[in-house]
Amino acid sequence: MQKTVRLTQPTKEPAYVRNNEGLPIRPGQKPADRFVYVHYPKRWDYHMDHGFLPVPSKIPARPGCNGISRNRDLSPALVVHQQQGATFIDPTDRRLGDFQDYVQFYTCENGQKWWVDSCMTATVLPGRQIVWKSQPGAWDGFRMQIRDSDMVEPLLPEVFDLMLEKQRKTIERLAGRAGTNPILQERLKNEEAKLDAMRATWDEMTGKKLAAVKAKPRKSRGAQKQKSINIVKGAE
Amino acid sequence: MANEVTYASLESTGGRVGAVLSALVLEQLYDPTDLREIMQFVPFDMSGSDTMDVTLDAVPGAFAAATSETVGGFVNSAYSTSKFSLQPARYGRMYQVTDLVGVSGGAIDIDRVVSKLIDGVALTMTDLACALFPSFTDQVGTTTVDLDTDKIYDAQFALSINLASSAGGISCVLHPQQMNDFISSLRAETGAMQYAPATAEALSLKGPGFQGTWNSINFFTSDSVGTVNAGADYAGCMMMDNAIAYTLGDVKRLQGYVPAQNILVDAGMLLVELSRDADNGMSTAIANLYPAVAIRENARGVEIISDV
Repeated sequence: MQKTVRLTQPTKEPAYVRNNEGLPIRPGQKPADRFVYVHYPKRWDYHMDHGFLPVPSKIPARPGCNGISRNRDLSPALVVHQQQGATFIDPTDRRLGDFQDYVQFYTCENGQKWWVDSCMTATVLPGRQIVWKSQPGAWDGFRMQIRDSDMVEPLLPEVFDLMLEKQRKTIERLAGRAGTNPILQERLKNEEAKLDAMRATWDEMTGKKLAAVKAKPRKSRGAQKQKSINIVKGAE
Repeated sequence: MANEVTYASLESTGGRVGAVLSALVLEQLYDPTDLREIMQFVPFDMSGSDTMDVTLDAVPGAFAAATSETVGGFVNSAYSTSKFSLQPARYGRMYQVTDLVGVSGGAIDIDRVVSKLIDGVALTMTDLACALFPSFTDQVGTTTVDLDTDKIYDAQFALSINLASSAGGISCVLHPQQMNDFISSLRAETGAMQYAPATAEALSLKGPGFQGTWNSINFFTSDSVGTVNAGADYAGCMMMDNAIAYTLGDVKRLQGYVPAQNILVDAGMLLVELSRDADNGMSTAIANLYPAVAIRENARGVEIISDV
């Protein structure tokens, strides 16, 4: 037999029009994959404030890419890169200091992970568009850290020569086009200043290394064979 | 005057409805770029492994001169082969459609849903190919600086130094922003080289995403081109044709695994099957694809970075 039931206390829930939890994924968009960085000895660029900085290559853990399996194991891809001369920048390496675990994620509204560099901030606009921004100076800080902690091979003199040559060509091409164009003339000035700064930084770096080598006391054993000195890395 | 038969009164009394669906269904904007045209397809010969190694044969060498007429002979030359691996992974997409969608009619039906699944194959392959661009060893461009013609020349020269320019046509895949910057830079260029925008005929040959040709380089854009350097730059690529190899697992081998009556589409490399939830009156169209991509030879490509 049915009885009348009276409910008097509805369950409270904070009022909202739309509950925004996590990053939205717009149609046709996919969250970024987990990734790691490797560094190739030729990949350097020059920063006017911080000198020569390594340019890491981003290796995404996307199944089906370069031998990466469905469990997103990066080992096969890393082996190939290391065979080609790259240095793996292990996110767990303590030498990274504040940048240890540089690969981090934001959670998406469907529960997926959107992998980013640890310095990235996301702003979600009302139209569900995400605007990404890196904390000022953080990326350069990361590159300085991997340079200064010797996680990557130092800049080789041969690579420096290539960079100089490239910069000279850039200046030559600009000089050929600049004419009376004030914008190109300004760019030309900047590129020339960059070339001078590159030379000065290199001289300073090598000067310091040479001074460090000279400051080391010579071993007192008599007729020891002289070893060649790598002026970038110091005494071998 | 009274009792006029008006639209407003009919709408309120059931003689008219607020809106009807047009029979015409229009496409929304999306990037249909299909890069398979400039990739090398390697048939997946599955025989006991989910990974296929592809051999790169040794290059021929010029002969050496004999050092003596009577003795010495020659030293054995190394026969240096190389290889790359293709390991297909399962990719898929599914749509679940309730019976009420079918019963209520309208332009969106299960057939249209299945056709969207088929269109997704090209997008998947383009996504995978673009994910490889930062893996090329060589790089041109300057971080946080817009792309210009000089950088395109740099990339072309880098390929020439790698001897890659003699290996076929050159293609350049850029993010639309990079392409805009490049076109802006071209406006200031002088000389005989002209940018030739894509024609309908060229589009049919090169596929969706083809933008035009400049200096014998075929330009494509794709929104799958990702960012690097903490989001500061896009990572496009210039490469010789076939710099990237791909394969697709042959889903025909799944005959016997999937009941024949459930297969909606068997397009060789793509299988779309139907899963029926009779309890809830729902049909699910599930597409399965087993793709793999890999850089065939590093020297055939150059990453192009420029400001986002």
